[in-house]
Amino acid sequence: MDELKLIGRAKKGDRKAFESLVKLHEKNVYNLALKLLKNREDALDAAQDAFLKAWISIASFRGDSKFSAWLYRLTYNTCLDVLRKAKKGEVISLTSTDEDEKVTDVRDDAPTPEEHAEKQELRKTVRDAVDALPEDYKQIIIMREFTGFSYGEIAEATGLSDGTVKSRLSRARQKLAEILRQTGTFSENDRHKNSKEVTDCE
Amino acid sequence: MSNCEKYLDLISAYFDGEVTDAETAELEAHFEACEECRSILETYREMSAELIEDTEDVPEGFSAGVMDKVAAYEKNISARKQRKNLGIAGRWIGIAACIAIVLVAFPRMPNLGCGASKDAVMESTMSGSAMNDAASPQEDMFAGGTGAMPESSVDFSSSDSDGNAGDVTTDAAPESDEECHDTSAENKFDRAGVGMVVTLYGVEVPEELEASEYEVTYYENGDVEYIVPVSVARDIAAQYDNAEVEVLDADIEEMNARIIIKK
Repeated sequence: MDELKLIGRAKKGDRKAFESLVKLHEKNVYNLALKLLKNREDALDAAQDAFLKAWISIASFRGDSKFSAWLYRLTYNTCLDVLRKAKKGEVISLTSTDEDEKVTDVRDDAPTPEEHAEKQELRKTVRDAVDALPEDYKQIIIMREFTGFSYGEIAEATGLSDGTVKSRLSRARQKLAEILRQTGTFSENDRHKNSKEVTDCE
Repeated sequence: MSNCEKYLDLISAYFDGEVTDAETAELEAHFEACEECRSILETYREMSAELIEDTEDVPEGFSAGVMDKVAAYEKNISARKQRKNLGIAGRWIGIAACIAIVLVAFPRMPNLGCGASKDAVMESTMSGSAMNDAASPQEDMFAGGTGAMPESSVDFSSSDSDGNAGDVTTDAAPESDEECHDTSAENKFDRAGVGMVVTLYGVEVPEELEASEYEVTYYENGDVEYIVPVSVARDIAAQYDNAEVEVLDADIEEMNARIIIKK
């Protein structure tokens, strides 16, 4: 059954239909929460709460935006609430420490152990680099990369202007590239290229 | 500002497909001439690929866990509705009882229950019976029945019965008048659902709101609407200079207010 029909049924209170919607989107929603919260337990809770919020309000969903976009927004806001509360109570650390060590890859696509290890290492480096970003940069880059939101959608979800979204994403990427460069993640050639001041070129 | 600095934001937007045709043409012409900027674009692609691939499988039982939360929520809501209906029924029983008392006491009084004569009779009687009936479900609604909610879901946890007890008395009093005049008013209240609307702009959820029992709707445009006790809404509205407060001619009896937090 297609998504629209499932949404229609869920609006009428069909829990089975809603569960099918959950299964369609659970991976993206969970991973978005995991990226933002860096802790599996918190991410699980936040992702499930985001779905509960969707259930509570599904009657108000008119389809002005994509269902996934609405879900991502609910997830994003739920995670921000968790972070805010954690900040107040200092329950969990907002900066990555050893916490992210627990978040390792479960999937194993690499054909050889060496390639797998290399891939794991690279992912971990990128993950660490994202964690090292200032919170604003981190949130916007995660939002863009994991939700596929347009700039307009990010602006709507965050309350920023389109122009700020554009420039903040650009700054976030520059900063991320700089961190990765410092860790030597890129090849010698890339590092050489990237280490030169961009103002050199015409 | 050098040429390349000028292109930095554009490269990021180009990577996201958020540039105009003219900007695309300009940037691609620049890429032809500038290895640095091509390299930046390539870096963005690599970073994005690594980020996107870095996902985990959802923990087992995830969707079942969501449905458990849904079931707990629905159970809680239906319990609240039941309590509310019982409350309304109790109130009407109270009114019927007070009418019966008046009938017995003043069997030949004209315009029973309404008009000038009720001021003397109804008011004193209502404060004794129906008012108490009106207050009890309200306290019940604020204070009880939260056990069904899972710990991490929407927070229906704490109660506010102390502060609300006074409001029940003061707000319910004029309402009893309307009930005497017009029985269709009940329907109007049900339809309107709120007696007060507070609109807040760009604020986080106030702590008082989180601590009260509420119903919530998350709209697609990012607005979040809460249905809360009037007393909570008043307290919150008082905190914000830019709060827009609209008082509707309805439902003070139900003690509900709508708080809308706009982006």
